[in-house]
Amino acid sequence: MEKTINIILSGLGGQGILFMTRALAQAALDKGFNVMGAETHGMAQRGGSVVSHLRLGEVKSSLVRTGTAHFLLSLEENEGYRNLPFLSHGARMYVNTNSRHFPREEAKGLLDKRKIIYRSIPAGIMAQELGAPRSSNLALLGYFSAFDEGPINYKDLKTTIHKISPKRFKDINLKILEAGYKKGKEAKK
Amino acid sequence: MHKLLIDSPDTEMLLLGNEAIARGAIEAGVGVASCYPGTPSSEIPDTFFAMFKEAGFYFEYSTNEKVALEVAAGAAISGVRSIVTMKHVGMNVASDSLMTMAYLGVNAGMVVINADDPFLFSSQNEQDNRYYARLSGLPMIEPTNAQEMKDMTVAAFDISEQLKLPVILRTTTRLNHLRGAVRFGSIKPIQSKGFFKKDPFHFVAIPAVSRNLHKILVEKYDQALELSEKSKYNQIIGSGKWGIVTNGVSMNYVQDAINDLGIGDKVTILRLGFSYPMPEKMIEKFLSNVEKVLVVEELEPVMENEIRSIAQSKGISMPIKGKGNNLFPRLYEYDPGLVRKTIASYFNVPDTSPAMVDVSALSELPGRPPNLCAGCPHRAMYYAIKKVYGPDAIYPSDIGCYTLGVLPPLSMADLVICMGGSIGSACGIEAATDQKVVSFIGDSTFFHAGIPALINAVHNNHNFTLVILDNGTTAMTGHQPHPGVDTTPMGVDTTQLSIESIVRGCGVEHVQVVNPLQVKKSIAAAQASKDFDGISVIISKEICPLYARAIQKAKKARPFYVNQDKCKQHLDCINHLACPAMYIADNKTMINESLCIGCAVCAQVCPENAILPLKKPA
Repeated sequence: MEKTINIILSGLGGQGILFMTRALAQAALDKGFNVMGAETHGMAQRGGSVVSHLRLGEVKSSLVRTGTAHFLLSLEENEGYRNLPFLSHGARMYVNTNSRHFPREEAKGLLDKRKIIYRSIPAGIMAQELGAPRSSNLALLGYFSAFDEGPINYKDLKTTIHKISPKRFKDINLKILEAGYKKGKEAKK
Repeated sequence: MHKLLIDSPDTEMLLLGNEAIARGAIEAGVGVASCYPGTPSSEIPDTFFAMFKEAGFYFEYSTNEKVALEVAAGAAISGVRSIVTMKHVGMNVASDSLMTMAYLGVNAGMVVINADDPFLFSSQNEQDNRYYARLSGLPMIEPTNAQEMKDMTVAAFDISEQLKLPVILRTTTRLNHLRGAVRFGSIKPIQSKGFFKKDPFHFVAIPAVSRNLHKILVEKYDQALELSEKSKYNQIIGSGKWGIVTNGVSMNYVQDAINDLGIGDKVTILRLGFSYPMPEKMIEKFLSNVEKVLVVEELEPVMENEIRSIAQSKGISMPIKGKGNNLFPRLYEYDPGLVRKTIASYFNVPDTSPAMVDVSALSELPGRPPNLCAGCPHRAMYYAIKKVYGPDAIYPSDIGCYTLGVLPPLSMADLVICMGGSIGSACGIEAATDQKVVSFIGDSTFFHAGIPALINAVHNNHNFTLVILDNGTTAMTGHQPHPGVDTTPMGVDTTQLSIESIVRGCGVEHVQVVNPLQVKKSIAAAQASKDFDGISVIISKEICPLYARAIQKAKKARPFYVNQDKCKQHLDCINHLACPAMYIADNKTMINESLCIGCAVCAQVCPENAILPLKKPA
């Protein structure tokens, strides 16, 4: 088996971190990875900081050790910064933000020093424009998959989202996933 | 078919730890399941609730953990396998029944799922419930991953039947909420009906009977010890001279750390999964092969102290350490970094942990505590009460979403102890001070532990106001029903009870039912309560908007906006309601229309009538 891949997913309670975690975990399992995840449930679901850990590979702990995460997907900019200590040298960070000044100046120095590659997408606005303001998670997932830097590609996610979405959300979820993917493809050009 | 009912062994599925426990119960052919929900255990009963009719076993959300444990006990004594789930503090509530159930024993397997919460992710304390095994004399087992959560639930039923004792399966939050692959086993057919065979001189715990039952329990300890010595969940792994003892989720951190540090050949791990009784002979064997020992266990030094005691009784002398300076703390949960660092320093191995981004250089990141949702009716009731009683009244509160009202600017919680504690403590504050007291309790919490306290308040002529925040669901733990909920739409047949009738039945004479979203009426109700001498109760009745949305019963209300021409920046809305849908940008008060659910409370609070519903989109 290949080396371990550590992913951190962050944001605020109610933004759909759990669904995002479940989608990535399921896609990875279907691809033959050994998957471990750690989720935040309960009180933190009321708008508080929420973090999920996802580990692919032959590992025992579901928690990612600080300094060892390869990817950070954050549904909110400050929550992204809050979880920077998890990131390894050369990690990649994908953030949902409307800010044209991402990353903020003082963070940029930290990221560059550790050779962390950062990208952002206005996933919240995109989801709202598509009529599902609470689905920024899918736009961010689609965006992440467009760069093909992780173990899970767009096709994998499409299959998984189709499989795990409740019936009444299936079409809209896939639509927003695709919008995020296209946004990523454009950015990649 | 529910995904967890698939009867094809060797199916592999990605499950939440709590789902794995539920699957274990299915494989064990459980006949009766009960619970009171509580983080981090809630998804176990929620999974049962989603499948019990299809599967054909009996399930209920009980009014509290004590009742839930008794339901499971009654079934197991009648020869039906039962499971009961609760969070760690729920075990305190259930402990009265648990202690004597250890004496009485069972005729069919009975498993008590106990979920501890190190770091208090969603709890009022982080007590270590491994002591309950010691206190009750009941066996305890502790899984380490999703697969074991399933497998050990099945095993727990077998152990229970071998010993004729309830078995406690202890988890921690990280186990309940991990996600991992689980390979299914075969499903044992459900035996949902048994027979209560009368045996009063065994099952009626009067002193003469219990004296004998205690003797039996002590004898069972030896049998349990034998099972523990032979259990496959107690293992000695490796043959190095450095000993590490560990349990539960810490086992994973230990294994990753040892691999990472490359010291696998130097270490012997003693993993204790059947953790009470502790396997003395196995521990002696382990100790005789190592030179020094590090005990890796979250919270209290339970294993550390007992292993030291075993070493002493066997005449073995060596360093056995766990908690202490430069070692592990007694506080909070562990993480892989802490375990690795401590192992490295204890055994003098260079720790080559990678550097991490130092965010201390970043200007302060906003604190993000959980908050009452936009449109939450609790906020509206807090506003009305504070308007009438003022900031100096004392506000004992209780366990639920509404506890979040502690944060400024609401600042509407002055004392929180435990489920139901708001009412009993109000009696004491009112008796011991001349201060005004208003208690808050949620609907589910009222059923759980509020009723005896309310009867006490009435009977002993106390003088305070109780506000029952009735949002029609057990919101904080994930919207489970309670006795005040009509479960017909969920396809479940239960009897709905009226909180108002119960309150009146408790002898309260001054009872008002209000919709908290009607601000003027709520303030009037608060004033009437304040003017009343004695126990007055306000039932604040409005459905939880999150729940309404989940069951597709949300009212189609238009979101509101602030008319900037009318707004004079009093900021009453911002300063007194602090609804997360409101914000200030460029010195203007604004409403985020995708968060606003149109509850209209801010519009009623605004002195300029500047907050108006958005026109319908064209």
